[in-house]
Amino acid sequence: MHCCKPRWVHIFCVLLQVGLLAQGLLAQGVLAQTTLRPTVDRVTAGLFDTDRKRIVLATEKTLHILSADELLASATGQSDHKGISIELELSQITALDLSSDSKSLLIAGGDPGQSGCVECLDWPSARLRKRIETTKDGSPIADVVTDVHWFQSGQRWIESHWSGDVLIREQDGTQVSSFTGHTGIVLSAIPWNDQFAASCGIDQTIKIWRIADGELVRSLDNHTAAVTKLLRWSSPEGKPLLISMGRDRTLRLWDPLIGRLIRFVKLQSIPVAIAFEDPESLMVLQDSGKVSKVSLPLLEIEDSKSSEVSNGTTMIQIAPGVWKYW
Amino acid sequence: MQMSHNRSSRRSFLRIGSVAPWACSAAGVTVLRQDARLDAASPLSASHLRSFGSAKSCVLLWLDGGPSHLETFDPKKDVPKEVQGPLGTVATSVPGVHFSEELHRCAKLAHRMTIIRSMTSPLGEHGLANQYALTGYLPSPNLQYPSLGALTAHERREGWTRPLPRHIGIPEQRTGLGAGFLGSSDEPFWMNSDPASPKFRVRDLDIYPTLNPDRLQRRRQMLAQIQEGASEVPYKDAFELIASAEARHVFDLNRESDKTKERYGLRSFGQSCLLARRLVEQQVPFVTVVQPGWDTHENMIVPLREGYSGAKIGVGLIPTFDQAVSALIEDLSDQGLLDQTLVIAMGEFGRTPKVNTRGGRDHWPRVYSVMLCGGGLPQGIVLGSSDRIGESPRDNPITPSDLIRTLLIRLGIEPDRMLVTPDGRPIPINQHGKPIDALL
Amino acid sequence: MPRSRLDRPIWKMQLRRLLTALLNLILSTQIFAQQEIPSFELDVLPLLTKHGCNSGACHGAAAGRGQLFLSLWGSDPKSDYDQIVHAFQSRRIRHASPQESLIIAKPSGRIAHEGQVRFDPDSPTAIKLANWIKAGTPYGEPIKIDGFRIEVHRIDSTSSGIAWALRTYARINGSSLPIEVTDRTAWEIDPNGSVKWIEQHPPTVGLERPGRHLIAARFAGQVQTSVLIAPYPSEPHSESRSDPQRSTSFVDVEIQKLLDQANVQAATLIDDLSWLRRVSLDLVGRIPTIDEIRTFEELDPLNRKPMTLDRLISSEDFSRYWTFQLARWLGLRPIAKELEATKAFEKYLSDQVSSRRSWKTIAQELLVSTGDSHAIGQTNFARLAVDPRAHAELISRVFLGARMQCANCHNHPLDHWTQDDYHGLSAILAGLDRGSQVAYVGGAQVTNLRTKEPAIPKIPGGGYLEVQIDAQTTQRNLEKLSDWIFDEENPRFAKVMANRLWALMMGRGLIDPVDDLRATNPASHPELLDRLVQTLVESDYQPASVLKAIALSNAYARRYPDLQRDRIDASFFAAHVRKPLAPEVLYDALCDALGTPKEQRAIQWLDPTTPSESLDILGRCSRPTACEPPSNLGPIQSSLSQQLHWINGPLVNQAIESPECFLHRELSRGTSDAELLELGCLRIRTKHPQAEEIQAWLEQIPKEPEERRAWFEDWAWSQLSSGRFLSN
Repeated sequence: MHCCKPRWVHIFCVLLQVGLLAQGLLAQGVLAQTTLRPTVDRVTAGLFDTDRKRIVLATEKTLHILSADELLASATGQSDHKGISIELELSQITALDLSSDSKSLLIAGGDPGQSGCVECLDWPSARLRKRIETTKDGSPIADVVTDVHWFQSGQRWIESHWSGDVLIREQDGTQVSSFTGHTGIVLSAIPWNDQFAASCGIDQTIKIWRIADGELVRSLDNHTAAVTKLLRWSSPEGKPLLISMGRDRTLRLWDPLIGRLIRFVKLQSIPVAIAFEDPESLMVLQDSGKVSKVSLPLLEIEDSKSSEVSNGTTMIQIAPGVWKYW
Repeated sequence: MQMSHNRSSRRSFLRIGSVAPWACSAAGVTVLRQDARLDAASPLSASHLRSFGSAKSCVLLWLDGGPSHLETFDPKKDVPKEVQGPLGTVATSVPGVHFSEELHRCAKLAHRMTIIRSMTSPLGEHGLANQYALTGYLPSPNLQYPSLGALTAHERREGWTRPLPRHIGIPEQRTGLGAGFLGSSDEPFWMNSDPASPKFRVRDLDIYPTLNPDRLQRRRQMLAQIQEGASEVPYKDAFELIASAEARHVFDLNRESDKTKERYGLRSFGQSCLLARRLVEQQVPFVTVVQPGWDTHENMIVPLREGYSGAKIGVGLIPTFDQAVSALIEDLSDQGLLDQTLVIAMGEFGRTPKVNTRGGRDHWPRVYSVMLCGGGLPQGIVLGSSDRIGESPRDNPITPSDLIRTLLIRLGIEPDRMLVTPDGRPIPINQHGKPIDALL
Repeated sequence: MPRSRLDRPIWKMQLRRLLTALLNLILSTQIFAQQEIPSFELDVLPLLTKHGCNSGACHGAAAGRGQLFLSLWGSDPKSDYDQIVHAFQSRRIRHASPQESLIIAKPSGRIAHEGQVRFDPDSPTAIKLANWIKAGTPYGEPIKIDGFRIEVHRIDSTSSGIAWALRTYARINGSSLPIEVTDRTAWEIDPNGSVKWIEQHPPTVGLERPGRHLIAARFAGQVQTSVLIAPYPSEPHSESRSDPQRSTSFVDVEIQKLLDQANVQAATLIDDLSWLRRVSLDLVGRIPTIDEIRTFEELDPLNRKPMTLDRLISSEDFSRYWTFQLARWLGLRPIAKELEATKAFEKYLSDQVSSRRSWKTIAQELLVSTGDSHAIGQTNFARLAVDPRAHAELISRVFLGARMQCANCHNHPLDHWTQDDYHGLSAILAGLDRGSQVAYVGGAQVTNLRTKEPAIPKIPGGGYLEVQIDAQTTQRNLEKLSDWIFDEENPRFAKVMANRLWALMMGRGLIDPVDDLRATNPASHPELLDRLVQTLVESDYQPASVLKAIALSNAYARRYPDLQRDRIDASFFAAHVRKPLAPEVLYDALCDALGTPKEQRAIQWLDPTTPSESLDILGRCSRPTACEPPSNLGPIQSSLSQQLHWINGPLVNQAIESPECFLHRELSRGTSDAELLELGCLRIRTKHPQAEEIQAWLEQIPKEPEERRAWFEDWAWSQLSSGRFLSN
């Protein structure tokens, strides 16, 4: 980054950066140019800031901000990416979410086995707005936050926890609601609308909660292995439906408020990441490295090809029809 | 543990040596840890000495099959329906403690009981888990360990002048309850007959019609003369039992009033408990009463509450247990025997917190419950707890080895004393168990 | 505009970075200088096994622990690597600070761990794991192990007696030079055995008692055992107890080797009449008759044993008894509601044994036959199992001597059977229709619990076979299975059979228990077992060959151990194990001794559920799984119920009082007291009474006929209740 300083200092700094590139270590909180090496650094989460055409990828405790154009231009997704990075004080980053006005970034994670944490950053400045050591009813939760999602309003968010809790929090960290009922690790939680929320986890269920009183409204019980991700989808007629992804190799389509399983599709191997390509199709990354395109609402597999990535966790559409995987 | 075994192999006794010997116990010692942290067996402390031998007799109610802790002594409230199961809860005479709703009679006696809710074991297969629970040793392919009953019978043999066997089992044998390497003189004497049946009798206790006591005596003497190299008079126990009228009387349930019989419940388990009480009155050191059928993988409400489909009044396992055990405890107490009689109700493991797709629960050894009463134990306490859904011990995990050690102390048996196997191997009576201070 | 991170002067920060980076550079080069980068299969996974992390009670359980699922004893390194490095967004690994990674922090006690502390934070294990993480958790090369072995070095002079230093070696990836892998070997020692740890690093063990003891070592999916022998102290007052003449039979030579090594004195030999009794019961399942005894005594002492054996082996009784033993070995049970099928099965076995058919051929037919089970008896073997998995377990128990049940849910912890083996074998057997027309079918499947997909037919421990889409493929697969089981190159079936024959004769197998052959349960006398196998194979799998070799040995003819004095491990065969009689044999012996015949001998009731209260009380086992007598049974002991029945029940009493009983026949014939006593002893105990005994008895016998009769009945009862009668 450039600002006013003596030239000799500038040269010295450049030399320093070159020399220290191999170390890749950053003092806390400093944005600096670094390289993300997909073959070595394991990406745990990612998102696409469509307005600014920036891609945010999280590795163990670092956020990497890359330019979509540069990435498009690069030959393969496995070559090193130059960009900016911020080191955080978490040990593991599990999820990222950008508010609908693109002004606030949530980072979920914590210290595995010890504590959970959610950080809220101003965006795009990446200034830390608030850091919350997650608690439930005042007592610290002793493991990581597994997922976090903004509500439409951008004022509150929902978090899911390794401990089995699901919580809704305001931006200042106060707990608004808590939902108890999962009998195991909750892997994902999303807002459904202003009145309801959905969560899923190791106990193979998807649970629908009423936010006002914290009551369990529905428990969707068809998956035969852990349910790992939820997506909200609006059908062409405008009806909101729920898509779930599970380690039983299925994707399932539900009408959650009435508890009906509409359809499911069996994949060849375990799905690890899922995202919309367009309003009528999904892309599903599987642990075999294959990526399949699945149509909506019929959940038919249209096409499959290799992602050229093994042990992938994240997929981002950086341009219409162009996907990158890490 | 949710195992999808096929049924025919589930009870295979030949599975010794499959997993357990090299498994680590939650309490600590394994043979694989080279950086060894051996938890030394603690010697008897002063408080333990005070409790030593407080129980002269023991009645073990063996709930064969693995009773669900969630449907008995550790029911959960405010949990998802798939965890709660079909039964509700009932408050007990101990504030804040609830039992399953079908145990309402026992609930009124909870203030006399000790409930352990944090039992834990690594073994989820019947034959292996039985042996661990009853002997305090992880089963080994090299050696059959003696059960608690056999150990008690063994330790009481000196000075035992009565003709009755020291270890009696009602009604029929089950895995794990035997004497192992201690040999058949400490095996339980099984009734092999249902006390509730009008035809109940101990077979062959009456002298063969054409013989008489003198001839039996002569036979006994002749046998003693020719037996080569035997250290003990052969068949001694049998001869003495036959000669004793008192022995004959104790097995005759018709000497009890109908009212007493009805109080215990007229089904097999009830009458077995009544017989157990009579035996304890005669100072028999150890009585095992087996209640089979707790292995409820399917449609559990039928065996647990109803007994059979369409029953108007529940005559299943839990109501029968409730009636018999409450009667037993009250009866022993009325006779002034409760303080010196240890009553244990346990099975080999608990059952899965989540009800399965067939309306039942599968094996779950990770946490389960045990009920204890009498024998000088502290009353009205609940030791340890399981977590919110009854999946793991939340605090104070107690292994079968720990429990057996504690019970041995109560029964006046030194747990670190050595026994010797037939081929000369010294084995401590209990190893690796840590005594439960709260119970001593 | 708020000051963002971007606004601060960079050069100041970068100066700070320089200093921290230089510091780390110094530290990291130090660590990298220490060792090469660890490989997962060679360095990391064996450490997890060593510390018990992947045992069946912990993360190796089917249900895992704390959502960490490891393969049992590290049998699936790739899956374990995924679980540790990738699962849950790599939560268990922290590259930036390795020591804080869950995979180190939990087992070293830094974070609460249900499985307790497994190693210290500064132990070699923790350092190795940290290095591996620092190096980026590389998988490294897969390893293939050859020649994994244990070396034991005896150290004589320690304060606790004899000690052994243990080392393990293996050749990795085809290299001809073995490397030492002691530091990453998991040791398995029976917690109640006599082997005790003296030191952990380097591993040194001591023996607390003399005798033969086993240790096992586990590394990278391989298991090896080693036998440690500590000699017994010499007896200060040993009467000359050596054999009158050193036998040259291979049985005795092998047995003697171990006796010499352990400084154990063998027991003396029994007299010939006792031998006659023993061998009659063991070879033909009955006690010798008076005529047989008299004939035996008249034979030349140098030849009488081989001649007797030949006579017994060629008798019909031999066929009957061994049909009975074969039925017990197979676990014959009635086929539900199909009497015809059961009868056909029994007839088949009886015909095969009496026509001296090779037992290997019989076994092969039992494995692959199809047809009408009411006519073709051998097809009913498959019908003993209710489904393919039960059939797989039956075959593995009967023909392979292996308890494969554990491999249903996870790879077998003590042996090399994997889940794929178990389900693969079940998949082959799924192709049999077990109805009254036993036939090959196609399209039947079983689910492999590991993959949750249909199991692919597989030879256990071997290659995969074709998916059984039709009956022909099923037939081919079954034939391949049969070829593998009965392969001459790998005479496993012969080993199982020879071992069982030894166990029946000697009271304990060379491998004990007889249905638990595995790497961690080696034979006590491996060379002896090999010779027996050779004998069996050369005689075309006729049991008589092995039985004769054993019966002529000195080892077979030893006394029972003196329980007061001899606490020698039974596996030395220094004395003869006192064997209980099978209930059917005991029942027949009772009838034979008293002369009360029955229509059929009890050993002809091949179906163990044939109603008989007496047999049930005598301990006949009719459980669904086959019954084996416990192998470490002491002297004959019976339960109180059995004793009461013996004293007061009709079993013995009715027989004694029956008019056909020899007592009453002789009494009515006017036989003298002395003659009757002699006759009774011979009939019942195969023994001449001693002069003092006769004298003492004669004094007791009443004159009055009724009382005399009663006396003799009581006397007969006491003879029948002796250990000599009730055991062998």
